[in-house]
Amino acid sequence: MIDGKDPMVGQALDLLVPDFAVDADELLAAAHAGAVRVRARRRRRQIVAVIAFAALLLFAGAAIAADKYDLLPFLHTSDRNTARFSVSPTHKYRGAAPLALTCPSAHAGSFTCNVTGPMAPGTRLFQRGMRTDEVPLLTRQSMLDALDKAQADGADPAQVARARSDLAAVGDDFIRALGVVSQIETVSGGGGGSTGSSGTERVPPPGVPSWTACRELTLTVYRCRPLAALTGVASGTPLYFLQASKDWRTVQAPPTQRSDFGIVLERALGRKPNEAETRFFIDFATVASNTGGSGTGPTKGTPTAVSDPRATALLAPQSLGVRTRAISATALPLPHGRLPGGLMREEDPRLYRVLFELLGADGVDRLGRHTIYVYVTRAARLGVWRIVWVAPKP
Amino acid sequence: MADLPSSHPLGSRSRQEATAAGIEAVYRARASEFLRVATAIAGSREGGRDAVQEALTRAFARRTTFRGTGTVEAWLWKAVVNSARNVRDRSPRVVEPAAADTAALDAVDERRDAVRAAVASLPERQRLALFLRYYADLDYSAIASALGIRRGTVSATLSHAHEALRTALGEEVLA
Repeated sequence: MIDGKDPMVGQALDLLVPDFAVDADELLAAAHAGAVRVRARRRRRQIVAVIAFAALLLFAGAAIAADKYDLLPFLHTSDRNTARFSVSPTHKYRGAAPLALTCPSAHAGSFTCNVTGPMAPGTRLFQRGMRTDEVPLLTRQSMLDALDKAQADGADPAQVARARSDLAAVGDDFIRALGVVSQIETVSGGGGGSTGSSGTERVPPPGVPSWTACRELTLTVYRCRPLAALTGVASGTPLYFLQASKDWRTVQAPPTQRSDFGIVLERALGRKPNEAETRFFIDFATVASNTGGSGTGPTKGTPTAVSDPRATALLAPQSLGVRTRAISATALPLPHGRLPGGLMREEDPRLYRVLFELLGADGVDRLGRHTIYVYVTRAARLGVWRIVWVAPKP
Repeated sequence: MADLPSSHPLGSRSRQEATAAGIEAVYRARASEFLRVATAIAGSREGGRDAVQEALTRAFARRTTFRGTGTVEAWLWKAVVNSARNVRDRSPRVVEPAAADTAALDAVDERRDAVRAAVASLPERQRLALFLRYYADLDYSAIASALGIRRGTVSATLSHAHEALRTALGEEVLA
């Protein structure tokens, strides 16, 4: 016996799994890309959006350029590792999407990259993070069709009728604005990211994008553009994140930007939504979501965090982007099977049914009571509870 | 575990060191061992690769959850072991044989089958401890950390595993 090892046992085990050569880079690239997807999913979960947002993505409408509605300022973010952009509901990219691209001169404009190439000084390596999802069009007719389908699928007829009536009362500008906002997507992470408690992050040199959208020119050459504030990105476009290199700098991480759906909608609309629009917004999403049609379901998270899970759940309606008053939060057992939003049971999530009122502009309850289901988890590092998932059904 | 300079990410106990670069450095230094142990646990090379990639992905994505109570390497070992067990549980497979390039293939196969059966008959803790000790050359403390058991338990576990293997295989197979 040598140092806790039996040579004969060692020989026997060598028979079972012989030592073998490993290409460390291959697994590493795949793991990095996988981690970016995980972080992007988490980021999406944390974005503050109204309950209707995800459900509205299901339906069709007019295609409108984001810049027409002056959304470009919103697409710019102060975080160099985050890119916010709009996806075209009409254009699709069907080309190849290699796992990694080397780009001799990645800069603010468009630039070319190669599927394979020597890592010369100044060459940037980008790895594929994901492809853009399809964004359905939104139109009044498609929403009516969706309500018909919801009723056929068993939705409450009275609720459907109210949503249909509300839809008749909202203007085309409101529907177009919803269409624009539904096209906006955000990705974050990449080679930098927060270094934790120090509140700093690593960012590429000025002018070098951390995320790019690329399309193939030839079998081995790709044309890429910085993703941040890009409009009309074709669905299916591969998105690449930059690998960190020695010339990256450490900077103070910007504060977490609140992506408030209500604010974006106001910008797209050019005014505040009126009561009919707000009511339609909630009714339609509730009906559509309760009758399925989307695997993702409505998502929302808030930066709100308090020391009590029930009190945290009660704060959920506040982040809907409309005036609300929470009435009650009732703890429920977790549903069987997979939890929504990739939530893990090990995270010890708690589920609450939250009843709230929608308030008019004067603070009076004129828009009825609604129910949402809120998952909260404890942030281990901070010891506080925070909202991680909200949906119209548990 | 090999001795590493205190500034090396593998040797670091600081929470701040669980960075992407730190994880990557640990992985590069130990890639072969990670894959070998994961392959042994998962039951196939493909499963081992899946397990290591899954563990790395989780480590990169959740590096801020590293509590700094051990080394980054210990944290990764635990992730790899758990991931490989999950892969194995999802799709039980048979360990693939090594490349067949010798005339004595039958004899080797026979011995391998005997070893496989003997290892499979061990309690899981003994099996995992053996894999980590022999395939990754981890010391008792590192094995204890990866398996979530006490250091003293590792010694006893390995001792029992050696004894069980010797009994099951007999000197002629082990020789």
